[in-house]
Amino acid sequence: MARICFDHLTKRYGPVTAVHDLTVSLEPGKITGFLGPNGAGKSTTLRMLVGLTTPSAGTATIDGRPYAELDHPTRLIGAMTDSAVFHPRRSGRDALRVLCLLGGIPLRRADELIDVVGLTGAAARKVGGYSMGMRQRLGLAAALLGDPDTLVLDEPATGLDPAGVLWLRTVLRGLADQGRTVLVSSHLLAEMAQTVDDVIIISGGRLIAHGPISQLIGRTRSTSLEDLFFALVPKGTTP
Amino acid sequence: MTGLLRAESLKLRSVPLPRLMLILAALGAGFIAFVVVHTAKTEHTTVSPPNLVTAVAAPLWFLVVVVAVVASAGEFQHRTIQPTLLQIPHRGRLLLAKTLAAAAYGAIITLVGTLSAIVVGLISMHITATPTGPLHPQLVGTIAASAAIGALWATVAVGLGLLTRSTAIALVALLLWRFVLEGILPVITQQPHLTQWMPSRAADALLATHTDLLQPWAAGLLLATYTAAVIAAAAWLFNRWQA
Repeated sequence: MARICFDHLTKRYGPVTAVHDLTVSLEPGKITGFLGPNGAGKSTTLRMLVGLTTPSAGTATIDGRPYAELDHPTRLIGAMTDSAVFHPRRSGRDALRVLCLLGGIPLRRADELIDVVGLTGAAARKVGGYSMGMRQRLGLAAALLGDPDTLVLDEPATGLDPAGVLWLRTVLRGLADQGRTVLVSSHLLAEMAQTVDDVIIISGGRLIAHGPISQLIGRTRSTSLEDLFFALVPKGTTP
Repeated sequence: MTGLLRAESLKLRSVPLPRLMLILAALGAGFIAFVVVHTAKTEHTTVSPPNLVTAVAAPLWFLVVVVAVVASAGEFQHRTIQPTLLQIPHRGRLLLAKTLAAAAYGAIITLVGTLSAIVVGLISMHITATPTGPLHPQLVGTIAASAAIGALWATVAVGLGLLTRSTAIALVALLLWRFVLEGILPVITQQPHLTQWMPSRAADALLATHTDLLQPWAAGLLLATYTAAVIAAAAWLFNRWQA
C-alpha cells in the first residue's frame, strides 16, 4: 500500500510562503482529513504531492518517490485536484476514455467507473451541461480509473447536495474499508467529522495538528471537530 | 507512445471544432476553387491544378492553426492539462504525442482541402469549358508539400499555444506575424532579401509559387528550423509550468 510522506515541504511564491516546512506522513488504510482555513496551503500541498506544482524545498513522496518518477502513477495514487478540469464540449464518457488512454488503463474502466459514480444516464452528455455535483462525481471517477490504493481528493464535497454528500461519505468509507488510504481536504467540518479517521490541520502553511480525530479532540478537551479546529486555528480565519 | 497518440487523437475527435474545421476545409476550399475557375473564365485566362493548390493554401493555414492552438492552449483554458498530467507526468512524452497528433491533423485537413480544391476546380473547368492549364508534372509533389506545410504549421501552432497558454493571444500572435510583421520586418531592417527567409515565404517556396524564393529543399529546412525552435521553447516552458 502506498505511503505518502511530506518531508520539510515548502512552497514559496515570491515573498509569500504558501507551505512552510511541512513534515507529516499518512497512515495507510485510513481516511485522513486535510483541514485548514482558506489560503492555508492545502491545495498547494496536494498539488505538490501529485507533481502539478514544484516544491521550493523539501519533498512530497509516494512510497519514497516523487509522483513524476512513478511509472504508472494513477495505478498507485488517484487524485482529484479540481472538478472543473473537464472540457465542456466533451462527453463525460470520452473525458474518462481520454484519461484511460493517457494512463494505459483499459477503456472498459471508463464505463465501469461511470456506473460506480452514478453517471450512467449522463455519460454521453457534454460535461458543460453537468451540474457541479455531477462534475465532482466525474472527478472522483477519474481518480479511481487506475484502481489505486491511495486517493487524494481536494474538496470533493463542494457543490454536492445532501444526498451527494451522503453518497460521497459512503463511497469514501467503502474505499477505506477495502484497505485504501484516502487523503481528503474539505471545508465541511461537520461532514469531515463523520467521515475521517485522522486529521491534518494546517494554517498559514504550517502544520498545526496531526493525529486520530478522537485523540486530538480528547487532548484539547474539545467537544467536536469544529471545536477542535477553532481551538487550534487562529481566530479570524475561516475553514 | 501509442496510447498517448490515441489519447491525443481522441481529444481532437471528441470535441466539435476539429470536425467542423475539416468540413469547412473541404467546402471552403471547393468554393474557392470554383471562384478561381469562374474568375479565370471571365478574364479569359487559364488555371492549372497547382494554381488551385496555392489558392487555398492561406485559408487552410488558418483552419489548421486554429485547431492546433485550441488543442494546446485550450488544455490550459479548460484546465484539462491537470488530469492529463496526473495520468502522464512525463511532460516530454506528452508534448511529443500532442505535437504528432496535431501535425497529423494539420496534414489531413490540408490534404482534404487541397484535394477538394483540385476536384471541384477540375469539375468546374470541365463544366464551364474553361481552358485548363498544363497538368503540373509534379502535382503529387505539390500536394505532398501542401500536406507537409500543414503538419509543420500545426506543430508551430501547438508550440505557440503552449508558450502563451491562451487561445486568443496565440492566434493574434500568429496572425500578426503572418500578415503584419513578415511584411514590415524587411522594411524596418532595410533588408529586402529578408522576405524569403520568413516562414510564410518558405512555405510558398515549398509550393513553388514564385521564382524569387528559396529552393524547395532550403525552404523546407528553414520551415523545419522555425518549427523546431518554437517547439524547443515550448518544451522548455512547459517543463517549468506549474498548476
